[in-house]
Amino acid sequence: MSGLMGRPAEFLLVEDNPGDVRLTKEALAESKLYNNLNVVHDGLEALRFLRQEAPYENAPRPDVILLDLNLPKVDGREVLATIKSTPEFKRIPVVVISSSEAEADILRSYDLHVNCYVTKPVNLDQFIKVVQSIESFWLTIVKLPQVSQES
Amino acid sequence: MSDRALPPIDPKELASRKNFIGLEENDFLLLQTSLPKNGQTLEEIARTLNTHLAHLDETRHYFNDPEIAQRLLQAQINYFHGLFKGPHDESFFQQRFLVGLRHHKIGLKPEWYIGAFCRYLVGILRHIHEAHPADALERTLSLVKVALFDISLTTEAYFRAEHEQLTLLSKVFQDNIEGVVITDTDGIIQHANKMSGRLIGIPPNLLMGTSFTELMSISSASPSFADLCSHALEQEQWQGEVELNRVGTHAFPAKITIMSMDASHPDHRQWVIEFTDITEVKRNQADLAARTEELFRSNRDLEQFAYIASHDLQEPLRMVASYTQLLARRYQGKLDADADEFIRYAVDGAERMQQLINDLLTFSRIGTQGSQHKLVDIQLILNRALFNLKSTLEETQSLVTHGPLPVVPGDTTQLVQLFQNLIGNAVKFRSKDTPRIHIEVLEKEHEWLFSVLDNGIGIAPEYAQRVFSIFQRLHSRQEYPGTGIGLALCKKIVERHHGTIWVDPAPNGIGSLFQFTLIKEQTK
Repeated sequence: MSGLMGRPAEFLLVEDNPGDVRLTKEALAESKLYNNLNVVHDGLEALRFLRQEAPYENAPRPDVILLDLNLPKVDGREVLATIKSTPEFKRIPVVVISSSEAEADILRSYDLHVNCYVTKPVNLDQFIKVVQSIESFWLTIVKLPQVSQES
Repeated sequence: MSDRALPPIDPKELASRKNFIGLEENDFLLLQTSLPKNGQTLEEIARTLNTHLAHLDETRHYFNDPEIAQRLLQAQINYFHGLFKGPHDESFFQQRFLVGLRHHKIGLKPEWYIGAFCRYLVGILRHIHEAHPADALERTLSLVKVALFDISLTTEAYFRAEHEQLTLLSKVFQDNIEGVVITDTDGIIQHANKMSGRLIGIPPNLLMGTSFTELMSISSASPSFADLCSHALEQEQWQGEVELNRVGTHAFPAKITIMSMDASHPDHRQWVIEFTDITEVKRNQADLAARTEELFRSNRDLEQFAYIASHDLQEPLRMVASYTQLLARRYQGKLDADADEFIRYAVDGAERMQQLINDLLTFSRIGTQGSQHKLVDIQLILNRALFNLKSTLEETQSLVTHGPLPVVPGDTTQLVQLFQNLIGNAVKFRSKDTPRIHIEVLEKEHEWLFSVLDNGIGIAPEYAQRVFSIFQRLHSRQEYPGTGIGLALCKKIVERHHGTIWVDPAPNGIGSLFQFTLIKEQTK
């Protein structure tokens, strides 16, 4: 269904809070889907990862990006804007996972063409459920763009 | 008029006054024998005089009542009789004086008195010439002297009464607690009272002759004295604030009133200017404004602080909560019984803290959100509140009823929260009976009075105030869970809507009656 043709799904998690990184890893570890979680800790690293700049020369192209908004160096909003305005990356689905419930953040993210906006649940069970839902939705329900069809 | 107007009189003074006119013993003897023998004559003369007085505007009304007219006639006969008979001693002096005071009091002028006297003289002199042709001149001279003596006493009384009144008015002017000056048309000060001198900083007599314009501070942005005077003319008086110069020091803010005193000719118009120093008032106003501003700012800071604190606390707390939950998820039952208990308390504590912070965040958001209100239908508000409470209401089989509901200016989200909290509270603090909640609205002059009546466990009157305080709980968490923020939130929402909220025991003694007001129209 996903068009991954047997290879693991590549996730890129852009998150500066190691606690959240670990929680996301735990949540994905419990899932039965075949996936690979790549983690970077700020916006600058995220862009380097995408552009395969040092030290990410061998970085895979992510299938789905999980993006926190409040990031050091380059802010999540800027990362989102860059991704969605770069022809090479704009088709990659971006899921914003933020603790912000502010209307302004939600609207701004959609204005920047985010694919969906999710707030971090405060409860662990729900957090795990949300991460797993995101995973199963993007990997088993959604048809992702074929990399070979890139312009 | 008071007797204070009477001059001190003693035999020496009386003798000296008689001496001025040349009244001698011989005159009094002549007068006594000049008195008409026949009372009829005196009465006729008095009647003739009264006929004349009855036609004068000043005195006409005294003669409308026959009884008063008769009394006046008798008084006049006695008066003239006394003129001839004497004795022309202190009591005569005093009596004549009192006549003058009385006339002054009722507004009869000296010229009226003298005119009436003259007409009387004409009558009586004619009589003397007829009755005593041999020494008519001598008698006439005596009568003229006593008449002038009489007139001098009476008119002196007039002047003294007038003077007493002026003294009083002048004292009121001089001792006025406000500065008062009177200027001519051009604003040149003609009179200045004590306080005006004190306020300007120079003796009042030095103020006289200076122009009021010079007293007004040049730096003052207010209009010129001439402008103020033309305002005063248009609207009877002008009142406002100007800066006045104080000699030898700095200008002071003054509240002044300018009134025009009308004169027969516009060039002779005078201005009465009252002024007081309002430095203190201004300082108090400024202090109050500063304190209000300070309070407003600290309040806003506090709200901001509560918002930021609760928002930023959420992140680390989410970590604590998530990882204690992860611990529980992975190690519950795998360690020993103590570990299980510790984990349970840690998870519970973190969850409660999350709830508190969430509530605090909700609470502080009410303060930071805008207060521009649109009209909202309370029926729709209630529907949404009931929808949000659906599962709770169904579980407890609660029955919510209501009367007609109005449309009010308000914030939809906050009002839903208000109704949700009040109804939710009523259900939460239910008794053994099935919860019944009734909402009723009464229309008042400027507001709607909402009442939410329940049949729950009620609130003891001594706690009626405390329940609206933030984090105030009346029950242990085991009995009723919660952070104690619900009613504080209700209070804040109602107050943000310019209303008040309170609670009483239900009228029938079972349950609580929450009441709150919401204004009918948005205040500007």
